Amino acid sequence: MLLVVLRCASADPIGQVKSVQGTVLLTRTAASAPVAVGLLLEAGDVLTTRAGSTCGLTLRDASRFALGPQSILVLEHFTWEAQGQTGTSRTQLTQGTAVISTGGIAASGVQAMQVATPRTVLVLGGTTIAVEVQR
Amino acid sequence: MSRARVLCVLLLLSACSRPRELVVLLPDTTGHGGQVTVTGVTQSVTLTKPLVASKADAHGKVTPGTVTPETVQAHFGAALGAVPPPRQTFVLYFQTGTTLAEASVADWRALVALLASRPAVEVTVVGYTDRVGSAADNDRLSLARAQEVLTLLAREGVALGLVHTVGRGERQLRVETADEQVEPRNRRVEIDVW
Repeated sequence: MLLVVLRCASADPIGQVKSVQGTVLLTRTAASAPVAVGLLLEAGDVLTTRAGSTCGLTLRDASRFALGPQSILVLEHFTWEAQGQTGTSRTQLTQGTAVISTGGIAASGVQAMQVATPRTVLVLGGTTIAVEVQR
Repeated sequence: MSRARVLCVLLLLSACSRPRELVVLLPDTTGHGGQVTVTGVTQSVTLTKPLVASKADAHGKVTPGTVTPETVQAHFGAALGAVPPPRQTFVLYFQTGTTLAEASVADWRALVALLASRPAVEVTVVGYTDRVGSAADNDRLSLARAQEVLTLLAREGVALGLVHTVGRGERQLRVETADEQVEPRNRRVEIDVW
């Protein structure tokens, strides 16, 4: 029942899970369930990878995110307007490791693509970065 | 006993200043220059070269540094293995209306093969026209071209996770022309797959 609820995106999807290795959980409106490839993602979603697990996902502007083991990524905010190719996104890496590659949003405006960590804010411009957070 | 206690305190103090967060700019395979600005509690560090890094301590103080490829692999090897493939763009040309041009058949087959090989895919199909006809008609025609591509893909049995069709009409001409000038290179659909 929970899996069905998570697969039918009630809000506009902002992206999609592209790969899952091991155990990856999605938390949406206080409910958590395992993630499968193809799951549509919504703003507010939290992805958690367990030990030995990884997850790859893309967002609608073709930005790419990969989580290493024991990591938590929050998809805080995302807007994308395909006609004009503009938007903004903000995600948070709460713990663990991530590799992030920019897409259309970073190209569309200064400070348009942001990634937060517990202690810093990153602004990305047309690039690929690796981020690690130790609690 | 007291000496051991002093040693513990010193280790804790140095532990407070060890990096808690690390940001590394990775080599960019797209060939574009890239950068990231990391803003901590009071300062910012901007990274513009591959393997240049920013480290933040427990208090949010950020300092610049560099890392080796070995360090990158040790910290990020698992995540690097999970990065989805980069976006690919296909450009398909049309005869007048919504019929695919002969020269685009091979690219069409390559697109279909790529979509069949991916378990979950997102696609944006953007239609364009040349400057023959009114701007409003071309907006409609370009969207119709984009939607025709979707219909063709569905007929091929391709499962599409997320699809967006957009018609941009006479905007973003590949080849600049006078108004009402026929230009087959502008009659196209650009398909992004990621």
